[in-house]
Amino acid sequence: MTYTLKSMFVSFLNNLEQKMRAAFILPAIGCSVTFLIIVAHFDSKYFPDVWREIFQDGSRSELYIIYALIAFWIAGLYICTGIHSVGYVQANVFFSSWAAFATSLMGLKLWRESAGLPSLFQKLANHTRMTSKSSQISFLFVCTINFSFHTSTLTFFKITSP
Amino acid sequence: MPTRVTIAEDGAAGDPAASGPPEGTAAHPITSGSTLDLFTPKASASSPTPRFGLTRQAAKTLSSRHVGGGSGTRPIEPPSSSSSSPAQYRDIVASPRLLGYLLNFIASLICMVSAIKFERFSHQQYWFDLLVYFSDGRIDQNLTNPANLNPDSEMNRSEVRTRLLFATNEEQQDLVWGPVASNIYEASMLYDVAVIVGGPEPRLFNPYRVRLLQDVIASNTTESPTSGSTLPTSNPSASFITQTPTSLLDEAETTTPTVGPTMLPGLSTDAPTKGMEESVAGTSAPTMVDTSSLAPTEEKYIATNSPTSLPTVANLTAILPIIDEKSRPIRAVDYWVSCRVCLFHKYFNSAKLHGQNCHYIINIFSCIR
Repeated sequence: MTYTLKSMFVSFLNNLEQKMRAAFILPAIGCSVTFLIIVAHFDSKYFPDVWREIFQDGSRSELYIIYALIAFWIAGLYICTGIHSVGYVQANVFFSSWAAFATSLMGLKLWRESAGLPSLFQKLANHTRMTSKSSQISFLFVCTINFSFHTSTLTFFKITSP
Repeated sequence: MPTRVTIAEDGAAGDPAASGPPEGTAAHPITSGSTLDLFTPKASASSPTPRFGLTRQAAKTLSSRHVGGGSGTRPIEPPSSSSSSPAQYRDIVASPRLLGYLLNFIASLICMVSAIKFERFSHQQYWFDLLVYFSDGRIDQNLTNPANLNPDSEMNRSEVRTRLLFATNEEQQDLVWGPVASNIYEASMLYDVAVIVGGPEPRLFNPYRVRLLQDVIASNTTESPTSGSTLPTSNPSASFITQTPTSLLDEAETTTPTVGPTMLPGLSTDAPTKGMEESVAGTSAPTMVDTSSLAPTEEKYIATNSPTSLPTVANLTAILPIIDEKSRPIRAVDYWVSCRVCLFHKYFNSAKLHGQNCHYIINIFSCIR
């Protein structure tokens, strides 16, 4: 069973046709969910108390919704902007996918601010560390350069290979 | 940020004679001469918790439940109240997170529409239709004819389509060369079609296309499709390669236009392509060229050549520098392929092309129409 699921997942990732279909099914799901959320904010007739409990400041339910959106768009980034995806050749899909992911993160930031919690940047800045900030940035910079060089090297060998 | 009223007690300590209350009176900070600091949010080191014993979250919750901005005239409602007041409703609607959801919705919508548009109007189906058309029956829509497939390849139709869609120029050429084209000239031509219809991919220098151009021009100059041409003619199904644009257009004039692949020899009639159907249904009239946007030389050329006149290699060659002024440089073989694309569109009474890089195809189409 596990092997079947794994093989199905691998075949899905390798099947470009399905990836193309998922490239618009997944944003459609995200679009529907956010549309329902927006509509729920303006519902003052049917379930206003439910929405107030869910979307009030510092609500845990809304935090889980935002977490789900972030996870959803992490998967969406892979499907929409990964290699051999639609976003690979279509700039609109590429940038709008990243924009959706960024707005999901922005939702988390706004939730923390409304809940009276320090933002992630403040938390990072006040985090106890054993090294200086410049050394941390240097380490991340070296990691990024190394990863970029590794990727470009792979691409180069892929192109030049017969 | 709530403004806290704090009363400094610095001056009170250490000098009771100067700032202390007189005997028998209550100790009042103002009357006792101590300063009143209204604006400094000073937190006492001995009391790390907020004042009044409330956390910020609790204070905010209480203030949100207060009607009238904390005037204190109405009691605080319990959170389990079944009725929602207008203020609570406004709190939800005026939440800044709603803006985040709205932006997320817009981004998702753009992503979805772009992906659907790319899927529906993408060049892959269109490219594949042209591929089927130019294969002259050696390949059908389902790639079911084993003779048309590379025996070493196990690719099916969807794989071909997806690989063509995402392939680089070299990969596209290899892909076309393998399962579809019977010789290098066809591969080159099909590759040109793919590039023309496909998208703004950078073109690579291809000596085969130059050779093909020379052969086409030589065969047209001698008024014989095969004399002076080194194109292979052993394969009857590939004989269209030796046809010049003029002969193709003559054929187009004498052939009754029909819709669908039934006009193509060897193609199955029960498998009309999706792209062809869309092409026929999408545009009922051929695209006209707006002469106001053309260069003077181009406008003159269109004016002096009536739509009924058929192009020759000479006047098609004359189009080239005109087109070069308006678009990216193209080669003669490109317009030869473009003529075939125009012919395709003429059959189907459509000039619906994809991408601005097909602008010159529409121009030629307007000339020969």
